[in-house]
Amino acid sequence: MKKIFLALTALFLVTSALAQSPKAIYNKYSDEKGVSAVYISQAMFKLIGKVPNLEVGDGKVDIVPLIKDLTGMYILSIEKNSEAGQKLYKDVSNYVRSSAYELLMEAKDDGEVMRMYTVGDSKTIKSFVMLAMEPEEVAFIGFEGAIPRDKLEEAIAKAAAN
Amino acid sequence: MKRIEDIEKLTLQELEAISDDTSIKVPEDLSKSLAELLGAAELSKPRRPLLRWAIAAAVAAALGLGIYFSIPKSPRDTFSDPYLAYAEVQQAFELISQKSNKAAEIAGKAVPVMEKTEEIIRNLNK
Repeated sequence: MKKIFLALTALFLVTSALAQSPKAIYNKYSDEKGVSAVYISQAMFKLIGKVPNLEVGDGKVDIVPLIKDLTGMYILSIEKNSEAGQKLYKDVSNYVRSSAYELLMEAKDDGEVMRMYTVGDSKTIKSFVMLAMEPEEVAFIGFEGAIPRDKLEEAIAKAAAN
Repeated sequence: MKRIEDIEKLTLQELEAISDDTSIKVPEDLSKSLAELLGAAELSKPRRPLLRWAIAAAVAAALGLGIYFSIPKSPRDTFSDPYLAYAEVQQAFELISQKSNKAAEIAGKAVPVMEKTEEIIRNLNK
């Protein structure tokens, strides 16, 4: 009886851990009405990494070295006042709180809230989540893989300077 | 005849001495009655190996199904063209940069206030 109870507890823990991930969040909301959803797979990132002379555009930062080792990118954008938008905000907030994510940055300005979270160590980011509550919409960006932390910070800083 | 309590009080040496004593005869039907006793004990045990296996199999199946259904399925790629996918990724990184920039701006606004506070404290300490 004790063993069964332990097994069921383990099952519950494993399933609840697996049921909460950027991929699970994407799957939950991507088909909802009024949701803009973008998914880029690991295979596509590998393909991007192999494309020669990828045009970077005027003043844009070349992010190919950063993204070639990503295993997935999930982008969701939902109208803020919709039920799905409110639910997404709550779900992502609960997900990052109950996982190993660390708050990287938070900015609150005139009702707008933006938070960035990462999982990893001082050298590599294994998972990144950005949740932004804007006046019109709720935006979620999540990506997983292996990104050198210093390179990502450098790219963000360069893009911000442009 | 010795009682069980008396036998339990005997030391190992005493027990060895008794076992070496050939004058003590072993009852002829001892092995038979021992076998009968052992058989009865074996029969009295609840024989439920099948039930145990069934429970183990059910738990394993529940674990397997639970894990299978909780692993999120991979969605379909939004883009089939790597150039379009790259453009989208670049846009996403730009949005992240914009938001970081805004955070830096807000932090920048706080600097003069902090400097002023620091100056007041410094003047008070003089």
